[in-house]
Amino acid sequence: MLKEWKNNGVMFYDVAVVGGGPAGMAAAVSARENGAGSVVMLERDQRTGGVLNQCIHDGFGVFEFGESLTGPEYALRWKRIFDSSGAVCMCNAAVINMEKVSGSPAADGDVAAGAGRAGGSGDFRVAGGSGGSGDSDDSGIAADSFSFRLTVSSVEHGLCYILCRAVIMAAGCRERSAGQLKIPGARPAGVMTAGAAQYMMNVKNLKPGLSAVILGTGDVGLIMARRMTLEGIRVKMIVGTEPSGLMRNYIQCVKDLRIPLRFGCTVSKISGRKRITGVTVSSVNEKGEPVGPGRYIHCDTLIIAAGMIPERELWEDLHTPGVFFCGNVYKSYDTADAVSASGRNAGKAAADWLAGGSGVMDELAVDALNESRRLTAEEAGIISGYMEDFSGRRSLFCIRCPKGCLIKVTDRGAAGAAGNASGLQISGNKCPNGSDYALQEIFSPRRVVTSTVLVADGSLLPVKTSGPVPRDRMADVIEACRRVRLDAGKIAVGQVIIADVCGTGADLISTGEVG
Amino acid sequence: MNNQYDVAVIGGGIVGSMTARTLSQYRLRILVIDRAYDVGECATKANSGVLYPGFHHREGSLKGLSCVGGNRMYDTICRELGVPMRRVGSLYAAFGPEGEKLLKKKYERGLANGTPELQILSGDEARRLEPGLSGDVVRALYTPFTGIISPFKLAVNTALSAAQNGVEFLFDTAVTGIRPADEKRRQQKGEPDLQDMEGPVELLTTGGSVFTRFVVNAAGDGAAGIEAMVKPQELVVKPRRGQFFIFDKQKAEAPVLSHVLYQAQEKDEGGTLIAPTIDGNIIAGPTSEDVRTYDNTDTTEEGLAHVERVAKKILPGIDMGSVITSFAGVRANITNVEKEQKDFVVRRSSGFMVSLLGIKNPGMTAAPYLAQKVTEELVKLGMPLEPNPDYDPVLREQKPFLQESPERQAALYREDPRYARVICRCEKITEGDILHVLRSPLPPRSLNGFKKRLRTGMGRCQGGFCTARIVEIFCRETGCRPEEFMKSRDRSPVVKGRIRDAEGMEE
Repeated sequence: MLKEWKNNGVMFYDVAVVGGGPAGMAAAVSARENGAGSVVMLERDQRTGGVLNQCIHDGFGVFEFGESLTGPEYALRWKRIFDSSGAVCMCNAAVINMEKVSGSPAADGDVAAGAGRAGGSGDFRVAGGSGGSGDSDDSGIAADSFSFRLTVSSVEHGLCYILCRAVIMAAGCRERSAGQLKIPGARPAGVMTAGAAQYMMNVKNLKPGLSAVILGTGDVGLIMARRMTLEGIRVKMIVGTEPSGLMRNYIQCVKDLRIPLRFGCTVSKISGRKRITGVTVSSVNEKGEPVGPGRYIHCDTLIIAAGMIPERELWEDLHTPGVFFCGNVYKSYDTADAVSASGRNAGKAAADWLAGGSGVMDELAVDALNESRRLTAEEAGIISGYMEDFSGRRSLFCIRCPKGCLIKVTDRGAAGAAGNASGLQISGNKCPNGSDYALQEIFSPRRVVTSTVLVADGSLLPVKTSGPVPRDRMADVIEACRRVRLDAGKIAVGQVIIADVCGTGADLISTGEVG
Repeated sequence: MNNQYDVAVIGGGIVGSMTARTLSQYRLRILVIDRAYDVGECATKANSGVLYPGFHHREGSLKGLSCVGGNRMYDTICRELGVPMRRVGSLYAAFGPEGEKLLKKKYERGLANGTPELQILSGDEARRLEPGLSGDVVRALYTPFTGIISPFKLAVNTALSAAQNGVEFLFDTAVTGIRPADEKRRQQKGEPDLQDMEGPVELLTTGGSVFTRFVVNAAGDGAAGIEAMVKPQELVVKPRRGQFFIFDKQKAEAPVLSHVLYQAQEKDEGGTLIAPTIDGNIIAGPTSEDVRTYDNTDTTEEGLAHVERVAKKILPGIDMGSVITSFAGVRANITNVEKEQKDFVVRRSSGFMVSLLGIKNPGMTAAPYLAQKVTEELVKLGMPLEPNPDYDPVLREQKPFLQESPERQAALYREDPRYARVICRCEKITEGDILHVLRSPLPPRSLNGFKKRLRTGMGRCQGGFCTARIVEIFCRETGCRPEEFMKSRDRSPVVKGRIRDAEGMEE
């Protein structure tokens, strides 16, 4: 059997990690750190980072790195860690099939047997390769100690195989499609999922439409509402049956930009024979079914933000010995930080299993990092009806990190009496960022602006302001981004693109890499 | 392309394409004209993908004969065209005495029309064949003859085969009028009587004039309108819509459904069926309702609820949570003929034109037989039948990279490493596959065109992953701007331009 596979380009590793996003990178690094042996990470796209590459907004890394980073910055931080871990990365490599090798420890479900499971001293042996003259690399590799065979379509190697002893699934998730929602009506151009629209706008430099309705009140929908609005696409309404996004996203994406938001509703019909011309928004009953005639809203784009589905089609059994799941392929995580923690767990568990241990993953540590403030139904009532009350001088939600502390602000009267110059007493924040945010928000609201600029080769570079700028200058900063065209050449993360952009005192800096 | 032809086929659906391919066996200059961007854009792409067994239709009707005759021809055609087809067989189920009466009638019709290997089974025998079948089914009419096929692959490959044999195609072009080609006849007093006239004629189109000796009117929903240009209409043809659900792919080791399941129309089942598809999904539908216009391919709450009800009735275990999409198609329905008498109409419309009218179900099944019938009618009008020595029925077609043999994969990869870059990960299509179809004689010109040829966008993620990548590749290869790439046809752009434009920027 070994001979037959060698002729088709076979590579041997102790651990194969499927997916090079935050989960995969953390898993690969952790597997190496915990002595798993040789590790290969397979990424379908031409670079690592996964969905983070299109998440140009900030809020990532508050727990992992103690900073609020954009998605691309977070991905590049992890890439640096990965690059020095000794794990191998194959990009442009899609895993199209995975099978258990019969007669192997994993196939027999023999979790207890330690002998013969670990690959050796930790230096990886790569044998075979396309062309099949690799017989001499046999050097004692026992074919039956490899439990899994992955079929990989690689731009670099062609169709090839990876034989490994353990697999870490970190393939992420996909979005629920419009078709799955069974919305009656036409199927015109202009209906797409929020993530697909995000990829179009932030990576492929494509404008999804000119005016949009967003179905779904989850985070991706809210983030896209802001992104589209900042880029001149008119978001007419966000509708959904119930609230489900992070509080900080409601504040930054909906309230800041005054985008109409309606709960207890759904899209009950799509109109338009060629390109979408509008949707009908209807109220829903307790079962989520549309009731009543509804209201027609003209738009040329419908964005669907209706939830995530783990991508487990490659391997569905969560309990196969030797196969570990982490990140969104396992379950839905709110933050990339929690995904990285989950990846770390899986890498450690895989190393443990290869050394003869039980390979059980500890999710409690991950759950702690997953702490984030989601909008509740009561708060939704306040936000949708009485938004102004919320950032009045009574209480507000901090947006500096996903925890979303509810901060109470009381006027103490005489300056100095409460210990700060403003005369306000601030409570409810779990860290100093919160009181800093509260003061700023009340007297001069500021926001970090994230966007993209065009590089001469047609690609997009994600950028952000080096610090928050006055909220009423956001549009000017975005306009400045539109006017930039960078020459091709090397650009590093953090490089200044425009110093003191629009005279705000903050620089416009790169959050990605070019060259 | 010159504009002088022997035969102009109006309509590039399955009937028009199949007819063009059949005619390409002879030395004829053939042009297919379609007003859409691609072949098979109307009823051809919106049906159940079933090759009907032939017992539904009145004994001796053209529907019945062409259904059985056409169905039989598909073994050869599919082999020649490289189109997968499986005879999965069908069960026509009765739930009570009314149904059993109808079943008996279908049995007799099947025998008369030539449906092979018909058997009447008890409910239990039927359930042994199809374990998921409802326990309430008392009797079922079985035949192994019923087949499943991809209507898209069939339409595209039929057209490619025709193109390989010299047929030309003109898309995005509508026929607006017909007049004599001869100047003299045109200048005669009064309206020329096109009905008795012989060709050549001049077809006036939105893309200029086309001169042709003969015309095949296979225009589907436009057929009545085209025929009306040459002869008064006695048939009233109106749009009829059918709605469908598509379910996710079945697990190979535990399929939910193996046969095509029909139901006797005891209540309001209509012709709604549920069937496996050749690609491993399940399809349920269609409904049958009148609509005002042919472009009304909307789905409705009531229609989808009907499909769900009928599907659950015969296959109670069907999981509605595994629906991945729904769609509707519109067919041309003759309304002024009583249901039992209604039949396909293939007739001489004038001295130069043969028309096909009211081609709905079992149109796709009947297409090869109808193509031959049209050829016979053209011969009666004087079309010469000189064999084309270069005719090759076999379409040499490349499979998608990830479905090819290891040897072919190695060769393709050496030719272009982009064959290994996965673009549609749900259906396993690579950049090399996309570039390959762009080089074919009938390249895709819209997102739907890729969908038909490669199944991109038909998988679990329904285009979420691949769409932007396909837009980028298409624009790169053809030089078109992103907002010029359509989803289906004119004025259906997938995107509305760029976020950042290259022109007029500061450094």
